Amino acid sequence: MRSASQNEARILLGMNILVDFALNVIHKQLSKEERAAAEFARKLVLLSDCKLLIPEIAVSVEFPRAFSRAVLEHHVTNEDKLRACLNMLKYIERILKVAGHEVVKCWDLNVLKIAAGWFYRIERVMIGLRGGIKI
Amino acid sequence: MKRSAVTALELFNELSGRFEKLEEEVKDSATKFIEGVWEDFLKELEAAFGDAFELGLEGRNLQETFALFDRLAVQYRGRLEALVEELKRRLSEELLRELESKVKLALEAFEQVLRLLHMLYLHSGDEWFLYLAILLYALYKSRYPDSIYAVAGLGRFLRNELEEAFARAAYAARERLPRRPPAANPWENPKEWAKALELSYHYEIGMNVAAELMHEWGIADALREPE
Repeated sequence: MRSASQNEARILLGMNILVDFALNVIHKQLSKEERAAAEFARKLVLLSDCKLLIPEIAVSVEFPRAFSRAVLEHHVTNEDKLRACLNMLKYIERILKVAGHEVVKCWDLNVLKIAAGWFYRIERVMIGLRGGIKI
Repeated sequence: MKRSAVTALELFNELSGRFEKLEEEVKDSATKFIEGVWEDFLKELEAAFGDAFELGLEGRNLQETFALFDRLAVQYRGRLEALVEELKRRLSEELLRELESKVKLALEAFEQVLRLLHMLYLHSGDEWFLYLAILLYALYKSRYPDSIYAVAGLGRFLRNELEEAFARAAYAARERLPRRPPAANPWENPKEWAKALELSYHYEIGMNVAAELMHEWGIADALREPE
């Protein structure tokens, strides 16, 4: 995962990996699998060579949705907390920008093409791992 | 890095209700303090190594600064090491001065200063706190004689030359950064060096503080649960 400079390898990042990225990797209640996923996502986003293509809907819709849902359900009215919540969203966007990743529109021809291609390859690998098809 | 003695939530709750006052005080006092320390540092260097300072430090470009510090670090090891340790001690004291003694006791480690600064950044949105935290992170990660470059980074930070500040500081911590810096020298590619430092900071400090708060405030659960 250690990189000298970012290369041109690109990965389309799904919502799940971005969620894993935001998990608390040192929290005791995380299962072994969750911890591994969180650590992997943290390294992928911050330490890897890959340029990630992040669907705009994840950054602009899903994350704010989760933040506002938590605020409403937990009845957060403390201004300090609310301010920190808003700034945390900006902080995550900042990290993605500094790391050189790109927030992309989902309904873009190239993005859909890349996504479909990757999905096909991942699906084939998964079938292969289950012993169905040799790749 | 080890798990911190004080959780992000405990620290946030301790500061809640007086964030604005603390941010103002820390920014004001830390700026004056770093300016003072930087001037003292330059004077000390000039007094000790006058011959090497004939051109002055401020007027040198990045490559010349590295050449100068390379020379000084070898020639004056003991003196420079003491100067850097004194700087780290005084910075911790100054930044934690405003906190209650109960929290301060648990915040002795230099790493906790970084968590405090990151929390001030998350609350205020003021990137000044983030920049200072990143530079101090480099100081924290560096070992003598390289730490001298992190101190030199603080000097550039005062002049608002962030890329050069981060590049110098990244060089100081290069052996211990989780994100490996580029193969080129810092003066050849300061942007990539700065990036390596900042992302390493987010990996080891920044995202841990943010994720801890997101977990405690139920945001992580809301992210994982479908609508």
